[in-house]
Amino acid sequence: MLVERSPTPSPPQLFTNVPPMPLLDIQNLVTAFHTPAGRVPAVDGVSLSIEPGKTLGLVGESGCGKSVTAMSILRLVAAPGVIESGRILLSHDGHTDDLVTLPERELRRVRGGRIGMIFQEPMTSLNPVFTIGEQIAEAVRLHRDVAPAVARARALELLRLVRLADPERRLDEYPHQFSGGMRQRVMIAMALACEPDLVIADEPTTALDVTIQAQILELLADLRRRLGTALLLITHDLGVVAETCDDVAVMYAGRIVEQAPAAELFANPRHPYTIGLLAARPSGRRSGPLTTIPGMVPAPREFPSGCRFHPRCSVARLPDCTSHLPALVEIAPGHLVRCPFADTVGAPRPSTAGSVP
Amino acid sequence: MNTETRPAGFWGDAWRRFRGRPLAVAALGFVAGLVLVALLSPAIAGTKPVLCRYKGRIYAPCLGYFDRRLEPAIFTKDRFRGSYPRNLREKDPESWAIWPLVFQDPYRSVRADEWPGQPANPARDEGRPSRRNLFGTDQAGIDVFAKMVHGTTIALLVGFVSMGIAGTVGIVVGALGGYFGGWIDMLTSRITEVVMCIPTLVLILAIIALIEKPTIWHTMAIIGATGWTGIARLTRGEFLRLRGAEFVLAARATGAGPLRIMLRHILPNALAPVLVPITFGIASAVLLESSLSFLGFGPPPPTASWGSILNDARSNLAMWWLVVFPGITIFLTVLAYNLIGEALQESTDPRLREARK
Repeated sequence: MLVERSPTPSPPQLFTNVPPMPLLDIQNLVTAFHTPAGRVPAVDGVSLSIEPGKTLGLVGESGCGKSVTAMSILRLVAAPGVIESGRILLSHDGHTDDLVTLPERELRRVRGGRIGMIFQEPMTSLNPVFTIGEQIAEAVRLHRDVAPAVARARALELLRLVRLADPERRLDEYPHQFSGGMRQRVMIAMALACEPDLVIADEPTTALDVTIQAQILELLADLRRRLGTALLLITHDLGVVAETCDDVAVMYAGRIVEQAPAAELFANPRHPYTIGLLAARPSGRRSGPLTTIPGMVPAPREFPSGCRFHPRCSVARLPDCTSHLPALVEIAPGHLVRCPFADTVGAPRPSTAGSVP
Repeated sequence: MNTETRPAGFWGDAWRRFRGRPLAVAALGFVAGLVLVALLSPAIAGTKPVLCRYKGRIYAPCLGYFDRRLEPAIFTKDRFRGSYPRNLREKDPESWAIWPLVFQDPYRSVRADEWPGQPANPARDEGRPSRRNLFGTDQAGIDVFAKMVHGTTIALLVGFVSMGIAGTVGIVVGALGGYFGGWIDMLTSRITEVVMCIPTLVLILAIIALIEKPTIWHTMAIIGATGWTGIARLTRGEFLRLRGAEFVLAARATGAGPLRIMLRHILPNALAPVLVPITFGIASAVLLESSLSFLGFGPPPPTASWGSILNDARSNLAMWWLVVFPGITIFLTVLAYNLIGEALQESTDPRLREARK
């Protein structure tokens, strides 16, 4: 569902009024898995855009399709997943490429060169038989034709950038000699090796403990400020999003259900699912049962018709919610919601944990 | 955390564990000794000088043992007919020569007074081990010790060359099938299965019967061409396992292409289990060649190989020295390779990797 948004007014320029191009513009992406049991649409018409230097947080529960969206950007989706339709436009130097149709050879230049990626599992993302220095240098030399010594110097510089202690010694050490947090810093260093315009971070702190999580997030924010890199942060943790993101998009069952600037989303959530998520966060103050969203995330082969959230929604009204997919509507500047009852929605029915509708 | 001063990679660690096995280290030393003997064979036993000065120039006639063409032409021109001691002295009084340790020839019997004061080699039953003929002489009076020293080259070559071929072919076929999957995998697996059904020994006998001048190289090529199947299956399994590894995905996200991923990322991780059957393969290649020579199908005379000495013994078992010395040496060599292979398997076992820390 494409939504026409008015271009943000640009300051007076010498050239004619040109709206700023988003760095990454995903238009109506559909990625499905063709399994023997049937077609599973993991990403079903997702549209997102990221401005240069901004951070977009993509939030959702496990299985909502956020990781598949990230992998689709770089065409790393594992078989039998296929990008069926949509466009992913990456712009640089005034020139735009559609990553979905880009030939493989040029896509490899984009991977690591223009878009860096950080994965969730730092313990297994590094090759155990090579030193850290060799792996970072390889990331550099894949895109820049430099001598090994130069690449090694760059690796050292990157380790300093990600604030790894004792970087000279660490260059020649092996992954098994690093802790999880340190390995994630190395992954960040590898992702930044060629100064990409955009970094995709797929749940970068999920596998780390809370104190390390805070350090990594702070590092990412600092790097963003210093290098001006845009960041697509995928996570299921709303707290993380609140701290670091400019804009937030909430995903449910393969679709974006709400999208807004971070402050606006937390102050004024409009989609029942978002409200449910925010209400479900444990706050230290209340005693008594936790608030949950009744029901469970539907299995991909059993998606409900129309709005996929309606079986669990407190304001759902037949037949509006079941007959057709609600459109993504802009209810406030920059704030989009996929719910016809967004204006009337209130707090969800509180229920004790474990109840079944 | 690792407290070693120098970081140990995977191989450094494996070597450390290998070193802790005295039998394997002794076996490795034995093989190293064999290599040394093979390299220095013309200097250990031979009738050609290691170095000599003749008519004003310095020559190394002993190289003729490695290849006939390496023997300096001047000695043919001056009609030495392979007999150096007397000819050197007579044709150039100012000549000097450095002689091998043992004055015996692997290809012919030594004549009386060829070396001043040395009688002719005894033949047949009189050829038992003596001071001059350390391991005795064979039916034709050729010294067994010289034959064994020069046969070391063949024994080593057979093992390394045939397993070199088998290893290369096996790794390539297995890697292609394991990494790409699909029809490529189906094709390579079927080819592997077909080759597995070919009996090596019978094929060698057939080829030897067909070719006019069979050499040891034909035998090595056939052993290599039929012995790669086990290695291919192992490699395929490792590549199948590793292609889904997180660090491979990370490498793709950095922009590496398939060839680079296979060679640089997966292969070093897959190598350890593959080295073991290669080592055992060397042992069986040596055994196979010895068996062929024993049966009379080995390299034709005058090439010396350990198994061909055994062949001589068949007609006259009273000459026990023709059985004992080559037999023990073959036994020790095969034992050494098996010990090395076993220790290699235990040193590189990934299940023990966690216990390292």
